[in-house]
Amino acid sequence: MNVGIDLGTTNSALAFIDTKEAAEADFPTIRVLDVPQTVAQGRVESRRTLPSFLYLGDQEYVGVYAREQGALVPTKSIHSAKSWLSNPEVDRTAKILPWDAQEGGRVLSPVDVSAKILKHLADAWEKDQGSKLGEQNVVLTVPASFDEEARELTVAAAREAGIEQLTLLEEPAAAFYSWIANDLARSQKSLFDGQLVLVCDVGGGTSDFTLIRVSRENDRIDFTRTAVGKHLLLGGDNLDLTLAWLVEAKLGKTLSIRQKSGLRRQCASAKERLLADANLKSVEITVLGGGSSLVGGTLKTEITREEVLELALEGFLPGCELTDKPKDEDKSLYRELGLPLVSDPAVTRHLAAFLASAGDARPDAILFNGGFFIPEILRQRVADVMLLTGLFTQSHSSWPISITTTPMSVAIS
Amino acid sequence: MNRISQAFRSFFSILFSGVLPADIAQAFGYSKVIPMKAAPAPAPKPQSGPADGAVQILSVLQRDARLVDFLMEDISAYSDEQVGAAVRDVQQQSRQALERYLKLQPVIDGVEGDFTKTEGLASSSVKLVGNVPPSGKAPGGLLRHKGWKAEKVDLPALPPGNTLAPAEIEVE
Repeated sequence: MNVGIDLGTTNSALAFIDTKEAAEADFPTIRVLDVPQTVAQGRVESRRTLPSFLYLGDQEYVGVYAREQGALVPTKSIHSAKSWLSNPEVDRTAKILPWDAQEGGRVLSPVDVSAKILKHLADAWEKDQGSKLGEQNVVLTVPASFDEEARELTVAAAREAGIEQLTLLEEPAAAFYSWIANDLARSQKSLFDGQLVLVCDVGGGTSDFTLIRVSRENDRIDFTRTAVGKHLLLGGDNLDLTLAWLVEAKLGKTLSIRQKSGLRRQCASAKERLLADANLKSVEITVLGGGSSLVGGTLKTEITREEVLELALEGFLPGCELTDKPKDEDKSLYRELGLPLVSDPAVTRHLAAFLASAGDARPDAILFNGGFFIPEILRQRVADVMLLTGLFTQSHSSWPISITTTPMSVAIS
Repeated sequence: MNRISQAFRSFFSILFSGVLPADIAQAFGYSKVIPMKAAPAPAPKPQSGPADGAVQILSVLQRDARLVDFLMEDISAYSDEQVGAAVRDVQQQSRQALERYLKLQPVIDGVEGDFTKTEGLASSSVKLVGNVPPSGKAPGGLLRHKGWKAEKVDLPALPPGNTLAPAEIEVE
């Protein structure tokens, strides 16, 4: 079997191809492994993705329950291990997590945590397939921006999880392969020699921009990575969180930590529905009373489509000039929290700065990747902003705008 | 009930079905309805005692759906809208919890209002009302309620004791 693992900052997934099938087809079926995980107290269910969260409770939990419970007890919750793995400002092999636990409670290193998430996937594989993951060819994706140390630590984590035959593949390359595999006819038509493709990958908590130069001779297509942006700690979760803050302000009441966590989930799903459906005017939000007064404490409000659009389009994808730089970049409010989070949520400004740093590059096409870009309206917006600012070289209709959504299915052949 | 209506109902009932309406027959002392005992609910297999099973199911419904909070709250002062907003969530999650742990099925999977035979059904799972013959048995009648039975009871293990839901303290 050939196995691809997307070890994500917020979600992980494992996909595989049967090598016997692969011998007979150019692009054999890619299967995604259903990963059993605790989803609520005392309840194990299988999901296509494994949230990359670890919760140190009465036992160690990885997955949905770890994420939900972690929101209630941040001092026992470990998230974004991948971002810690690529953070040069800390000793990445030291026991620094959970970061919120302060001294004494920090018991695991970013490598340990990554290994535990991979081990969970390896166990799920063994249970489902009856073979060891160590016996398979495994391709693990890493951001193109990962430095040498982050790559080595990723390999170390994979070894710790029992993965032996390992190849690292850069995420933008994986997205590119995946697009070609999923849309062979279209990709053959639209890729031309010398074409510059921007891979725009915005996930739950991170953004990565990469430029890829296509070289083509008849049916033979090669590509070279020409520029890699900084690994930005900014993603769809920031949008959900901001929306939850706005709604909390509308409710006009201070919520408990449990209510806040429930509100965030509701806001995330309301956002998805409102962005996906142009006819949906608003979504009701109900926050049940936190104490034993359930009905009396229930708060009700709604999120309108306009509110979500304004936040998503003006807040996260605003129109910008070529020369725009992300705002207040050096005085991030979050610096002291350990992870170098960005303070300007405008993805488009970060993108403009990246293209400027790549010698004022003008891409011919964009390849969208990551969960943030599931709503078509957000992909369209990035394209519109780029067109308006002259960041594009071509006319609108001919862009091979495409998307591969999370979980990323890694094409291997 | 006024006398004219009683007379008419008795007349037509005897004309078309040959018997007096049950309520009139009883009111005039022509028959004696023995109140049927409700079939005793099959006791869920207790893990250590019946009280534990009760605490367990309530604990699950509280944990997953906050049902105990809802049932124990005095909601008389709140508007229908306020109650409705909360109930939607509680009902949906209670239902999901029941589906997960109990596997509830109708006793008779028929159409309510249709004629349904009682043949082959355990007497404890069917309750006859209406014009029940003295034998206490009838070949069938109109299905008024499908009934419920628990096909499977598979409650998660919970810590012993009588705490349904722990008190929650948020450390600041």
